[in-house]
Amino acid sequence: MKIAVAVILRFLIGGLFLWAGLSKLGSPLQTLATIYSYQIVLPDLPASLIAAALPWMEILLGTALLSGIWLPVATGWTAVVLLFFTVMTAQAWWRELPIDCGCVDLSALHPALVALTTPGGATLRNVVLLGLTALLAVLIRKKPTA
Amino acid sequence: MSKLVAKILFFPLAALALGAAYQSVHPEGLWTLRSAQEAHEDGFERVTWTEAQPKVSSGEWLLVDARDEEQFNAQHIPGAASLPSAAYEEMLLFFAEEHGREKAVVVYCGSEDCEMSTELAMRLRDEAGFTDIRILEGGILSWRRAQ
Repeated sequence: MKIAVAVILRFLIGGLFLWAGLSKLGSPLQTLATIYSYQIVLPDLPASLIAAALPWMEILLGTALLSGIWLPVATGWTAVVLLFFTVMTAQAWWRELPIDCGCVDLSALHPALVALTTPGGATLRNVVLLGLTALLAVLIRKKPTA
Repeated sequence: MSKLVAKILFFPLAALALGAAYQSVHPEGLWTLRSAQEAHEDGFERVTWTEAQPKVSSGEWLLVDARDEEQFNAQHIPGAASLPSAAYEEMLLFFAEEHGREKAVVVYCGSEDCEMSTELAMRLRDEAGFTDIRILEGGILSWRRAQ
C-alpha cells in the first residue's frame, strides 16, 4: 500500500514538474518577465540565471521522480523548489500583486482551475504539493526501493 | 558521503549548465538581449521606459504590445493596446482608423529588440500608414525592471 502511494505521488509530482519545465522552455523571456513580476529585489544577472536554470531544474527533478533515479535527493530538491515557489507566491499574495503565477495552467482540465494561477491559488497549490512531497519523503525513507 | 554530496550538487549544476547552453541556442534566449545601440539598423528610434512613461501616461504616445494575445493576457504594461505582429491587415487598418495614423506609437514585445516589435513597427508604417513609430528599449522587461 505504501509503495503504491509513493508511486502515485512520484508520478503526480514528477509529472507536474516535467510539464512545468517543458512549458517554460519555449519562452525564456516570458519566464524572466514572470520572475520580475514578483517584484522582489533581484539584480539582472541572478534573475537571468534563475530564468535559465529553473525550467531545467524542473525537468531534471520531474524525470528523476518519474524514473525513481536518486529518489531521496530528488525529493529533497523538489521540496526546496516548492518551498521557494511557496514563499514567492505567498509574498505576491500578501502584497496583492495583480500577477499570473507563471506556473502550470490547469484550466484546460476544468475552467475553475484557472484560480490556481493567481498568487493565492498558486500558494495553496504549492502548500498542498509541499505536503505531498513531505509525505513522499516519509514513504521512501521507510521503503527506499519504492 | 561524497557520493551524496555529488548527487545533491548534480541537480542545480546540471540545471544551470543545461539552461546556459539552451539559452545560447534559443532564438529568443536570454543571452541574446542586446544593447539599444546594436539595434538601430531598422531605422526605428529606441526609447527607454523612463523616457516613454510620462508621454504614455499623458496619452501623447500610444503603447502597443506586439506579442500574441495569450502573452498579452498573461501580462502586459498597463494602458497598452494589443496588436499582435501577425495580425491581419484589416486589423491594422481598423487600428489606424480607431487611433488615427498621426498618433505616435511605441511598440514593445518581450525583449530588447525582439523581431515582433520590429515586424509590427514596419507593418504599422508600410501597411497602416503610421509615421511616428518608436520601439521600447528592453521591451516589457524594461517596464518590469522599473517597478
